Parts: sequence; C-alpha cells; structure tokens
Amino acid sequence: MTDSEERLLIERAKHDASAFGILYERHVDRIYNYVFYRVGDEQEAQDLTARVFYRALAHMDDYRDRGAPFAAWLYRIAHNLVANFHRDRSRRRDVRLDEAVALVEKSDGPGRLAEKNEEKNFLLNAIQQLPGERQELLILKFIEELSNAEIGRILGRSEGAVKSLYHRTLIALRDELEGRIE
Amino acid sequence: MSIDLTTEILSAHADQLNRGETLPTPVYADMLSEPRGELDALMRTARRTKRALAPVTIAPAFRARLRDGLTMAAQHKESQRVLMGRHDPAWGWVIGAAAIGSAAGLIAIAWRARHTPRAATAVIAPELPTPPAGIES
Repeated sequence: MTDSEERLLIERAKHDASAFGILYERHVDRIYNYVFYRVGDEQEAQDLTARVFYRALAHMDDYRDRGAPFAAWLYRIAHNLVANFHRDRSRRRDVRLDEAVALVEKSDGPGRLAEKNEEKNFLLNAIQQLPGERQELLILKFIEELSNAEIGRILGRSEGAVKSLYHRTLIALRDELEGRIE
Repeated sequence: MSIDLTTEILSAHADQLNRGETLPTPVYADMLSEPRGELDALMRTARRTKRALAPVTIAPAFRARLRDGLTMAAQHKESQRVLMGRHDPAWGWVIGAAAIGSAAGLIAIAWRARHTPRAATAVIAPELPTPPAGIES
C-alpha cells in the first residue's frame, strides 16, 4: 500500500468500521511487538495493545496527516500507555522474560533452547534497563527493521540524531552487559 | 576516536544485520585509524541484540477478538454520528436563538407602539406625503 493509498484509507477509517479494521490488521503486529518488548509480559502486552487501538479509534477524527506516517501516531499512543504502565505499576522491572523467550523460540529443541534462553534472558534484561527511548530505538531498528529516516519520523528526531542515539545506545548496552558479567 | 565515522559504520552495520548480510569487521575497521577494539565490541553487541529481539507472534484468538471488538465499537461510533447528524442539537440552538430574537423584536415594536403615540402612528401609518397646495387632506 502506498502512502497516498493509506491516507485515503485513514480518511475512510474515520467513519467506516471496515476501513479501520484494515488499518488495524496493517499495524497490530508492530504495535504488539513494540509493547511486548517494552513490558515483557504477554497478558499486559495484549491489554495495552487493545488500549492503543481503542484509543486510536476514539481519536481518529483528531488525526491529521502532518507528514509523519500513521504508524508514528500509533507508536506515540503506545509509548504514552507504556510510560503510564511503568509509572503506575510497582513491578516496573519485574519482567517475565521466560515468556518472552518461549514466544520467540518455539521451533528449537530443548537442549539448544536452554542455552539460547540464558543468552536471551541476559540480553533482554539488559535492554530493559535502558531508558525508554533507547528501548524504542532498538525495537524499531531490529524488530521493525526500519531505516534511520523512518525511525526519526516516529521519534521526532533527525536521521543524524537517530544514528548518534543508536551509537550511544550500543555503548550503554555494552556497558550494561559488561557490568553484569563483572 | 572518530565518533562520526564510527557512528556511520555502526548505522550501516545495523542495516546490514537487518538485511541478513554479514560484512567482516576488518572491512569496517580498516576505515578507521583508531584501534578496532571499541568498534568490535559495539558490533558484537549489535549482533547479539539483533538475535535477541526477534518478532513475536500475537495469539490468533486475541487478534481476532480485538478486531471484532474494534469493529463493533467503530460501528457504534458511526451510528451515533448518524443519529447526531439527524437531530443535531447545534442547529436546534441556532433556530431557537433566531426565534427568540424575532419574538423580542416584535415585542419591542408592540411596546413602543403602546407607549409612544407618534411612534405608533409612524409604525402603523407611515407619514403621508404633504398634499399639493390647494388640496385639503
């Protein structure tokens, strides 16, 4: 779907349930992945994903095309809900990484799974310690596989700023991993 | 360390990871005059991160249930919009205000007519033109 086709779809979705359904199908996977890796729990991720789309539906009339992709608007909603989640919940860093690993490694055998689980748990825990924006960057870069320009439009930063943020994020993550080893 | 060049190399490396390509670190390191230890460590961190952050699949039942809920909510929202369009309270206020204004104007005219005879005459019978000389009214 081209950008202009999506713009037409968005306008239709303001008053057409089936058009909103198409938008939902286009974006639910990315929003779910974003939320899941930010909160680390499948049930919470489902709840927050649902809230993202219900909020989007409620505010569709307010949506204006300002040059950023529709996904950026959904990510902003998701970002705010995740921020509220972490603020409101006492178990901010209590993530169920076993669920995260189980969802990702469904096809592996038990032996390899145990070894991979430890590595993934270790790294995902370290990622969870990063500031929210840096977690967002890694999710958009390595799960959504977006370009720096696309990430910049979502985060409200220039392409150069995204590159610099990525560099600093890797340094922080490397330091976090080395700190855990020591 | 050449921060800008390292930043560019790491950025390009991330894009290559996403494309499933692997470019040996020495190729990147040769572009730098500084020691490659830092670059190696950061690129290794990036590879590990890419492996750890694999896409997760939404439970199909949840996906379908959410879609059904959103469809119902969207249809309800649209039906409310249609109902509001047929009996729009905003238009009711406009029409009501116009009616009140018209009534107030008529009441004012009638009051002036009762309390001001000349005014009443002027209202009821606008001033007649002066008859020509020689003709009595």
